[in-house]
Amino acid sequence: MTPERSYGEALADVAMAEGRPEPIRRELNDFLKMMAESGDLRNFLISPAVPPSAKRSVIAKLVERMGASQALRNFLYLVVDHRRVGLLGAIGEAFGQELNVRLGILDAEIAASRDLSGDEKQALVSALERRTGKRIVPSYRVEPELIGGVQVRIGSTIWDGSVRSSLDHLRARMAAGHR
Amino acid sequence: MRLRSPKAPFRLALELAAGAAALLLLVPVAGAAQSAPATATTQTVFRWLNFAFVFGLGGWWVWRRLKNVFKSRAERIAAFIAEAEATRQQAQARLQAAEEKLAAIERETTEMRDRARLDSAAEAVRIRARAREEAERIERAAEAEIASAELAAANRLREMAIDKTIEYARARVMGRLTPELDARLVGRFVDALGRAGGAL
Repeated sequence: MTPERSYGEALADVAMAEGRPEPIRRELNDFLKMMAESGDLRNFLISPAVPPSAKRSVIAKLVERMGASQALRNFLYLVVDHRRVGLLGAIGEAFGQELNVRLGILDAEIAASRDLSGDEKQALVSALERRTGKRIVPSYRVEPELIGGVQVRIGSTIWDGSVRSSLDHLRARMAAGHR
Repeated sequence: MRLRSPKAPFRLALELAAGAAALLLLVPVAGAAQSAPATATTQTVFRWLNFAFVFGLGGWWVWRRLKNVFKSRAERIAAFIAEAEATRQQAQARLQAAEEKLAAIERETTEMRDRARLDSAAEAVRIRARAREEAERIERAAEAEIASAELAAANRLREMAIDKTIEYARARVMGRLTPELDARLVGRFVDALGRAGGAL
């Protein structure tokens, strides 16, 4: 097991134990976003020249300002003390995946050649939840190359209902038919 | 071959001179013994007898001497003849051997020529066969290459045709795909997705 996965599972244990998985996920994502936007903060937390006590102090202030939970603050203290701040991004990703597994949540990437309407999005999510039996957290993007239709990816599974896919299938059938 | 003594000619000449001197001595003695003409016939007879005796004695002596000479010469000649015969026989044997060798050489030459002719003919046959096989191999390879090239060209042509067809279909779809049609596509996809195990 990789270190980031170990830390992610540990935080998931805490979040599930406190019964606040989604708030803690949100808080961690906000903190990671703040780190990504502030190079100074990132360098400060990563630098081995800065004593852990100073880092703890800054983290405490940031958590307080964010209104984040004590659980997140303690977790960040642990990461700083173990000098794993550089892995924080990967830890957040592993935590999200672990939380999704425990909560029965699937991330779905939905691509279409245009912006889907609210009804279409709702219908898609409902269909996916019926299909998978789990809660779907969708993310949408526009891909004009699809020409028309929709493409859905959940993990390594792809459902492709795009016109591009239909044309690709047509091409494959034509090529196979001549051999 | 018997060799003749180097003193033999000298002795022969000495004996001949002594015989002639005795003959010359006897003639005056006989002449002095005759004193009267009546005895002329007797003298003549005596002279002839004396002559015959001396001649016979000289002839016998000469014959005795010459016989050995002739005999030794005949022996030498016979030895020469025998030697010549042996030499001739040796030469004949050498000639025969040379002729046999020559005949063998000629026979061998003929055999070699025949063998060379046969080998040459066989080699020509082999070369022709090898050339024919090589030509056939090249022909087969060329045919295979042509067939492969034809197949590749046909495949390429087919792929180009398919590409053009798909490109044309894409253009047609993009030209005709209205938001309403796209919404129907999405709706059909959602319906298929919602059916558990349904094909999309």
